[in-house]
Amino acid sequence: MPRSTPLVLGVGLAVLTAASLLSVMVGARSVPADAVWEALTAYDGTRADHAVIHSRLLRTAAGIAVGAALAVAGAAMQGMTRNPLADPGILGINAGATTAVVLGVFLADVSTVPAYMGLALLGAAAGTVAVYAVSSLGREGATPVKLALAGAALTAGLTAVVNALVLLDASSLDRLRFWQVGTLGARSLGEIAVVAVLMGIGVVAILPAAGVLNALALGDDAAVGLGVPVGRVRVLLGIAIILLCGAAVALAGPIGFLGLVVPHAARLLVGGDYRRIVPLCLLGGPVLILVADTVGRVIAPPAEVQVGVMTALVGVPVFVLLIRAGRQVGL
Amino acid sequence: MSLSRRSLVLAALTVPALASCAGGEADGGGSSGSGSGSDGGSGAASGRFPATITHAYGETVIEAEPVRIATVSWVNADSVLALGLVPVGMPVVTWGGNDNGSTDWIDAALAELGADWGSENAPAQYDETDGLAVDQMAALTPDLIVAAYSGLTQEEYDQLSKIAPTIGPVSPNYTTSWQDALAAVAAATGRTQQGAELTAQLEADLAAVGEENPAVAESTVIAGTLGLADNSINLYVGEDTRPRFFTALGMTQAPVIEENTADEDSFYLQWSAERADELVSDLFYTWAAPGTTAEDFRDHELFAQIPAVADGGLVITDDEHATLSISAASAISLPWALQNLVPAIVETAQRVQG
Repeated sequence: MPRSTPLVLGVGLAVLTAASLLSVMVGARSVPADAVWEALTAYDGTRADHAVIHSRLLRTAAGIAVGAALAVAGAAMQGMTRNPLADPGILGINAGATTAVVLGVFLADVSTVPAYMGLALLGAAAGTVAVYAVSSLGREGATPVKLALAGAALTAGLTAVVNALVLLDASSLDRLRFWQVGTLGARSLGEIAVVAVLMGIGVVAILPAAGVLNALALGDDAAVGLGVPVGRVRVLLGIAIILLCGAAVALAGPIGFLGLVVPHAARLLVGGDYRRIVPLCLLGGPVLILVADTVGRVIAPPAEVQVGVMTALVGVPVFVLLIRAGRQVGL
Repeated sequence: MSLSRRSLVLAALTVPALASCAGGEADGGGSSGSGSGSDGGSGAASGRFPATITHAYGETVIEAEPVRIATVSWVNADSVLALGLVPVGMPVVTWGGNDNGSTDWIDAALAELGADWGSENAPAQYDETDGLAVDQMAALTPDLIVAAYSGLTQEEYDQLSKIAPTIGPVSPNYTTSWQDALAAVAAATGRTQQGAELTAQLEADLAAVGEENPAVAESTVIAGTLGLADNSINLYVGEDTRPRFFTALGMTQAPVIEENTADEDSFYLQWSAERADELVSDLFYTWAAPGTTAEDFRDHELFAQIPAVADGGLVITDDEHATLSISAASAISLPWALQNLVPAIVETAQRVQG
């Protein structure tokens, strides 16, 4: 590990702390700093400003969990598939998860987070398998471009299904609408905790596999030559990725671009070694989602802009900058 | 993403009305055959033909009294029934409908006219889920098609006009008021006077609620949807049917709504849940998923900050059928609402006003 990496991680931690503070302090309603402190130390649920701070704490916790899960999943996907365009949104995993949840709401009136979670995992797995199956057709197999195209096609088709179901079943509209655009802050602490445990398992599975990702980045033949059991590793990493994406969708609905942008930004900062990229994603994902969410709260008063819209607004320019910087966007 | 007509139908009902700003100019447009109900019949004299109806897509001339009337969307069949006529065909009421694919107020009107479902005189029903049922309507050989309240496009209007003279939307995108819809049908059937009387009577019945109950007249109101699943607050404003319903009862729209929509053309307003406590009013109306109770909103830490939610001023329709009676308000749904919803609203207002 180069000497600069602990420094980068230290700075990352500091930036995440600052972003979390910002997320608690800033919102559609302005709450003075002393009232924020009071809400944290002497909470009084009958006070409107205290209730707002409490809701922001939950929102921040959900943001950290979702941001970390999506960014780590994105990094693992990019490494595993040697695909610079890999992202849970782009490869159809989020769309699969979202569609499964919406079908559950529509057909079985599902309404609890653990049930969303189970459906999201199933849907994420089905989406992944479908995209791989389609893009493996043909002689050259699952190339990055074919994967991205298959993912985009699946996402477009499934998004249409979700929108159609939302329109068909207006009685569940209130619950279904949530699954059209990602939102933080609609989940209780208990719900966040349950999902965070699953995310933790996914992250713990991917962190030690970062070295394997480095080997896979050299190509399958080289990885096999280095003694990596490529097939088995792919399956295990795939399961971890599905766990992370399904959990993120269950908690916040579909959120795009995060899994694409954060690993590339990390690569610019610490180079191409996944042993450094993955830990930095763990910090960078939450930073991006919290900043996006906080800006979304104040950008269009008296309304708020959902975080799923904001990550696209923040993520796309960042991605363009990354490409224009012209360094190491490839893998 | 372009909105299909189907999505507009639902949007008009469930999400805050997506009506365009054209609603404002339509107020002046109205249907010239009758104007708004309170003007009485200025155009076609009662019972006289030809009658000319003005709507968003021009003028429709009706040469003789129609006897086979087909309707689309909501409100139009209601308006025909209110005038004592039975449509030859009308759409199935999918969202919020009862077991007959209809509504209780339509069923009652049909019964009164000797045209119960299943009887010989009952209207044919067609499904509009996938768009206009053009073929089925044509097969009924109607001599008038009523789309006075609808989101009909010019293209659809032209299509229907080939089947029979069609009353297009008086105001576009489902913003036609029940008064204008009734007046248009009344003029087209030579019943302008009857329509005007019905309108005056119903407006008086609605206003009587406030006149007889000072608590209602003194109450301010906000109509919206509180989204428990996604923390969202959407408010219905301006000429949307829901605020119209409550102001017709004698209530006043809350100042916070007026202040935030002063220079807006929109028919709805999104509001951050963090600013819930600014939504000051005596009553707050929301529609909600079946089984949702006031308790569910009080348990929500941000929605609980809405004064009306905290102080027992929340009015909920958690039943699509009831929601439909005011979101697709018509000359026969409003009497139903007066009977079935208003007592609880009055009670809530009295409790809040102490």
